[in-house]
Amino acid sequence: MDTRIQIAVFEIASNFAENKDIAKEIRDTIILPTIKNNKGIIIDFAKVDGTTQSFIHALINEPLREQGEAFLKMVEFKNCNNIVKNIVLAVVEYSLIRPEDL
Amino acid sequence: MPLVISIPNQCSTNAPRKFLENDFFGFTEDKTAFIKFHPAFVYLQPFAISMLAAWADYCNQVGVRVETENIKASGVEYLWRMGLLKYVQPDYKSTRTEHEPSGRFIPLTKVATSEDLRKFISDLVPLLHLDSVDKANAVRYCISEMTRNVLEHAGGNCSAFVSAQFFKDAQRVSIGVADTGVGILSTLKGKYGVADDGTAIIEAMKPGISGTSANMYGSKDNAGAGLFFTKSIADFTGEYFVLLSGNTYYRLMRRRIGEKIRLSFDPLQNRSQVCPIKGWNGTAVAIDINISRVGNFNDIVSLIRDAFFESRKAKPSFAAKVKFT
Repeated sequence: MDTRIQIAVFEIASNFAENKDIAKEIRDTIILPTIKNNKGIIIDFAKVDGTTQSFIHALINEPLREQGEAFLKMVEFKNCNNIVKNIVLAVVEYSLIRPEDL
Repeated sequence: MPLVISIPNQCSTNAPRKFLENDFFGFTEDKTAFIKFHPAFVYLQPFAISMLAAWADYCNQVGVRVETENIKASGVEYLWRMGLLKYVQPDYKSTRTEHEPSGRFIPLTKVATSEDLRKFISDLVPLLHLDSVDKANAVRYCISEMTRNVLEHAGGNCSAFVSAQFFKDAQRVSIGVADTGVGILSTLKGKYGVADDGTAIIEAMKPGISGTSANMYGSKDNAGAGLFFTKSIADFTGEYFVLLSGNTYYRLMRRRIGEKIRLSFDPLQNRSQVCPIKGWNGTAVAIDINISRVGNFNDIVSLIRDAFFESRKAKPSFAAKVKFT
């Protein structure tokens, strides 16, 4: 049985996920507590056809800053279309950039 | 003498200067301000409409009475349909039956909360009859980022005034977002050596700066990349982008025919203008998107992602470590 916490973004933020307040709430009430308990997360973007860098930043930047690459082992991004994937990758990349690469 | 705001016969991102010569906040002891339309007034692009509405709302809050002159100029009916007159002349009586706005424009909307923005975005795509998800994403992206900037940075209970118009022949969507908040300089003052409006505007368009944190790529809530992404969308489609605050405006110029697409981390590396204006207490943004050139929106995002790291020594490579299923 998969014990990972599942977050259905469409149910909370609709087909264009841009509401940062919702992203922050998901981050603070689900993502951060879950990873602190060493549990995995599935962030499901089914039926989401667009999003903003600001939304994804509010969702995952803090866990990336706190956990570094270890966060990537705990999280799975499911059913992302190419746009969502690209924006997730952009946020991951700039969140994990090392000072010596600046 | 009361303050007079002169509205030229037209104002667009192509020709904004006459409109921006107004001293919008030069109020006198006479608590009245006049909006004087050019007798041959034809047209204001959405950003100017949004600015006027934000200004009129501010006047209402501080007890300045707004009156109009030459309200009978023929182009004023268009401003009525865009919803501007309910802010500057609420008792204006149109001689026309109000049409459903669908297909050509999004009437002026005051956005004060996240819920207002959510509703506005969900309404705008069907209203503009955008025929692909990619085109819808480009427009929704810009409106979301620019309006959220107001809700997060303008200060106090400042609202955003948003409007948009679709020019079918040119396949162009013009978007305008304006506020009378604290302005960009106030938000960035003291950081990165920002001491004047011109520097503030330029730095705000670089990713990471306006995350209101001195750390690279901003704070946990904000990367400070919204203006960069939005400008890049306009740039990719070869269109204008205007950002103004305080006493300066920046205008990204249209790409010339045959010129290669080259998104840049530094807004001054684009073909652009930086000009003084009389003064705007707050911020206003104009974004033009040529939706026939949007193509695959993902291609735009990829180019923006590359430009993000343009000035860095090395582009990070974490892509293989991200689990997509």
